[in-house]
Amino acid sequence: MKGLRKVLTPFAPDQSGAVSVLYGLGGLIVIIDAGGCTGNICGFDEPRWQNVRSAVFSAGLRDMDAILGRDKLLVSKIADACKKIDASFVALIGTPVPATIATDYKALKRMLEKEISLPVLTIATDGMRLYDEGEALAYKALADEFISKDGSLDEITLGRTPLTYGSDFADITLEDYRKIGPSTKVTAASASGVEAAKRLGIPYETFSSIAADLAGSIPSGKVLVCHDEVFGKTLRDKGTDCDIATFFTLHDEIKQDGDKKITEEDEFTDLAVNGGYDVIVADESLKPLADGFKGQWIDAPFFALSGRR
Amino acid sequence: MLKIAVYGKGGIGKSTVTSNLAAAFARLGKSVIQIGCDPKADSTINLLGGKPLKPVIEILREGGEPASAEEISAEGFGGILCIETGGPTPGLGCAGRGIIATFNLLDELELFEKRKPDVVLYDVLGDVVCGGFAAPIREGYAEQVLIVTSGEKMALYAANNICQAVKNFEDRGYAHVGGVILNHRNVPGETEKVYSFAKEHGIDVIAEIPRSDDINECEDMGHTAVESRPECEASQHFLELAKKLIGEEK
Repeated sequence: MKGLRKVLTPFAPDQSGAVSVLYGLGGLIVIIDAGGCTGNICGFDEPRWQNVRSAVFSAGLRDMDAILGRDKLLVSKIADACKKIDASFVALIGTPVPATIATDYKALKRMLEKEISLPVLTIATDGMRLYDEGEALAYKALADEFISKDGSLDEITLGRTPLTYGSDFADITLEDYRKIGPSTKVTAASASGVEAAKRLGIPYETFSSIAADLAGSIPSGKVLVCHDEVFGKTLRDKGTDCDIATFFTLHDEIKQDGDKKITEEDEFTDLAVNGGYDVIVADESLKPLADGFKGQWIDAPFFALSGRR
Repeated sequence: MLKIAVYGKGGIGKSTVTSNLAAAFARLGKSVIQIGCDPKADSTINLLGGKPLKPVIEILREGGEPASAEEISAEGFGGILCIETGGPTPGLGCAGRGIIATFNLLDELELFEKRKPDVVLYDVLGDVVCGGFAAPIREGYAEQVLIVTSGEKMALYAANNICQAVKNFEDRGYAHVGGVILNHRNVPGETEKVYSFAKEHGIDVIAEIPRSDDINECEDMGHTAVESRPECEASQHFLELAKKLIGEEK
């Protein structure tokens, strides 16, 4: 049955990806939800929540907010919070609630920027897409608001967030983004990084440090990699002859014959069991789906997929 | 690009006015898109020879994933690109949300960027009853609202609500009211009442459409008057209005 998950838990959704990009940048992050999405992000999808302070709030929407469209109340609450918190920007993160009632983010941005003297980013995530798309939307919002592309930063890595990299994420500041310029060496470390680099229009390279670390330990044979696309490409660049299967974005620039974007558990099972692979490189949480696979499994933790760092 | 949303009380003749105005723009050589924002999905029928157009929401309901504007539209008189949002089964779902879903799809398909129309007309159901029905006047869509009214009390009541709604949206960067179109029903004191209403709200009556058998007879044939009887009085008023709006844009 399409969409049925018998083994895997739901992957990190787009709003978690958006927060992941913005988490350490010193902004006031307001998740436009009733509270559950914020709980999910802080409790499960954002490992920094345990030890790195960031101003992440829920809008705390209630029935009457949806019925009456009380955007002004939200604006006044955020303006009030801005008086108490030293933030460099405000980010409004969408969830299924505003998506369902069709909240007008452009109007919210306009109303809020009249009340406060901070830039406002609005990210129309809807909880129905996956984290990498939310990350890409957050990068787009950052690019639109802060990146003039005339800076002189030496290098930057995009898409190396905890959701793809666990504890090996890149710590990037808002100032880094502001300083991106035409001579900046841009490395796309995941699918969202590829999307961000393409949007910036600056030449980029792809590289996954966690894949590079693993490259030397992969035995020869026919290899299936089920992870982020850049993870797979890096293994390929390091000499591993592999096919990439990913539940997340697979860009045409990376895709080769044999690569596949998958959405269903059964698709992975079919590849793992019937694909003739000698080696599978993937998060161990996928193992129960490969019952019958006789080859070697190389564990590659993928936080957005399993919550394993 | 002229981007106009037409609002007014249900049954006041919004679709008739919008379609005739669209046809008038087309006769003046303009590239036009008309988007019907009403679950009844009958805004563009008289631009399409009386043939109903399959609404976008129906295509989406059937699981369609349109990849191009051609899949959700039809070309009518004068090359006017016709689109109907449609809506849920009456009594179910959320019609306003349906309008937003359609607009999101139009954005994804980059309709305006690819087609580069001179004029976009949004024909919106009734007055502004919820956020979804304000979608056509959100930033990026219509830039001016034309209110269709007669001198009937409830039509003016709805027109007042629309003016109030637009005023409430001032801080959101939404469209402004561009004027009133008086669609004559020939009720006593009609002209005075409508002009008085317009004056009270600081807006102009930008056109008067006479009660016309030509319009009704053409609609019976599935056409606008501007298409079939361009020389008739009503058509001339629509052509004048179209010229006026083009002139204002310049």
